[in-house]
Amino acid sequence: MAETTSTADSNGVALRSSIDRSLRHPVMFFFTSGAAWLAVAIVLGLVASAKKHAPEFMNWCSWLDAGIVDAAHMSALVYGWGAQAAFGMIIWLMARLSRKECTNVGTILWAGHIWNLAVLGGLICIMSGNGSGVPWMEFPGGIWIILLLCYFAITIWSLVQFQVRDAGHVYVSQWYLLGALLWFPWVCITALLFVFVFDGNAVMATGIAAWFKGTTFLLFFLPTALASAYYLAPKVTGRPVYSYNLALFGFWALAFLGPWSGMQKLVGAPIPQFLPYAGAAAMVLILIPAMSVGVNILKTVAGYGEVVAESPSLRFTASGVVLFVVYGFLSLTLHLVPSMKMTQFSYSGYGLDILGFYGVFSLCAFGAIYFIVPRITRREWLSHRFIKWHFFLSLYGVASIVICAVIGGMTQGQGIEDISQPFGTMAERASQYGWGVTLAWGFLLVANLFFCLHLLLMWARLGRRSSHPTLLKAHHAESPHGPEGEVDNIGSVSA
Amino acid sequence: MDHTRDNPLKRFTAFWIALLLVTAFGIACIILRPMTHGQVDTVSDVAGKERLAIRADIDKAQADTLNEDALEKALEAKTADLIKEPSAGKMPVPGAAPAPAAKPAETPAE
Repeated sequence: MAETTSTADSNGVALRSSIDRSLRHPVMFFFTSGAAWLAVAIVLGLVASAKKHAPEFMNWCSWLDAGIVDAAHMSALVYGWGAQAAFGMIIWLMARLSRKECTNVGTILWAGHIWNLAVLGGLICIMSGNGSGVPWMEFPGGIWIILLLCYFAITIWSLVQFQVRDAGHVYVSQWYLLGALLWFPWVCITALLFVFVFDGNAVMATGIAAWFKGTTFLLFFLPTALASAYYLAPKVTGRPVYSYNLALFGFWALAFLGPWSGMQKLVGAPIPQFLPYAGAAAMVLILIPAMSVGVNILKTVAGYGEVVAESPSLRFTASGVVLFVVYGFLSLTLHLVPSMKMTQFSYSGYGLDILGFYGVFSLCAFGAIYFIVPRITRREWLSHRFIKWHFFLSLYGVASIVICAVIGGMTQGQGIEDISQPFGTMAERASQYGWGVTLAWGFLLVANLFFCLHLLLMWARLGRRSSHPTLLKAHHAESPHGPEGEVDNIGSVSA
Repeated sequence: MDHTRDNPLKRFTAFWIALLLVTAFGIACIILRPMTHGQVDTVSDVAGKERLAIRADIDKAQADTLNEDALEKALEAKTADLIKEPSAGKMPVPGAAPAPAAKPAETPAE
């Protein structure tokens, strides 16, 4: 019996090893190029933020005008970093959970390179003044077709892997991955057709673009982050998910509410009035999936505080999940009818966007990267200090941006509403908080320098050759990542 | 490997089903859109001719009203006035003698 178990374990390790080896190049490609785009996005974010309180800053360069640099910043952040981090997570997680090797590495790598070139081309178009001007769809229409084709070439193999998986349990992570894989093309193709292709009312095109922005986050980036959280929390702690019913409820709540979001930004616009208010209601109710995911993941890791503190992947992931709950509460506060007056034309929306995209998605993505990269490179992270600095500066930076943008935005909104005050007063009030946001982007820049450098060293296979995972403490004792030596044993088994 | 679930045929069909799934909504939009929006009455289609007729009437009325000779004369007179040497006006000039104070109003007899 013991021999049978041992053979099964050995086969499992060999299978995981072969899956990791098959995905080494595409996953590392997506993570490293995503990290490089993140650095670019943060530098652009710094300039964009500085322009809000010091309009003369770098005004000698027309490529960095306020509107242009803001669009370039968000596009680099979402499609340069976010999408590629999501691709890396999706293809690795789906292969592992379906227990299938990837057999289309070449296609994925080609598509990945073309994706990067398309993002670069799109950014050049934006910065030379040829962007579309549609929020989160700033690239010209032609670039979108290339991106969409690349998306199919990268992700369709994950759907095939799921379909041909060995019969058995479908994990919670797989629900979210499948959701993300199917929802994004729906949202993207619809927006592409109705904004760029079909003739129609320009106001409705604006509404659809707003819907695209809201749903891309809630139906693609967020499910990918939650898939990673539902994978890592039980995996690292060695406990099953706290409640499958709660997980199911959270998933369907997100699936139901997500498609309604987005149009709340158009309150007062000449579109059917139920649309913006339905969007606002969805954003208020997003607290429901946030609470169900938060309670489920945090109850799963409850009692394992030390493991959460020591494991880089779990520390980032748990922080991302906590910030998802904060996102739910903040979304509720900002989308109630009285507060929407104050937030519609102010920085507050930007604060919520950054909390979602950086606080929730990116922190979960960092957690996944800290877990996946040692497995595919068969090297351990070099420095726990680099990871700690990355964690604390990221958390501090994102918290500062959100607090400054939300409070500054509310103050700004009050100024706009107060007709007894000149418009300049509103700008003066907001500029103090603008300084805070710029400084916080500086923190994030330093955080990501640590991250990029560390990841590049791992890419060059200069990580530690050790059976001890890199934990966030001075002395390595018992591993929270499962049996020690798995990374090294992979080599011996597969050799 | 469970060969009943993973074989080349299964992968081939899974690929095409997946491709159909992710593009289904777009295909449906492309097919249904012309059926539901065949007759699009844009503002320029509906009101274009009427608006152009109104515009032509206004242009004609303006052209009829415009007396170019009178306008030319008025402009010449104004130009001549503007290029004249400056002369003392009612406005005080800095450094000039103060303007004499106005006489007080006469006191009524009664």
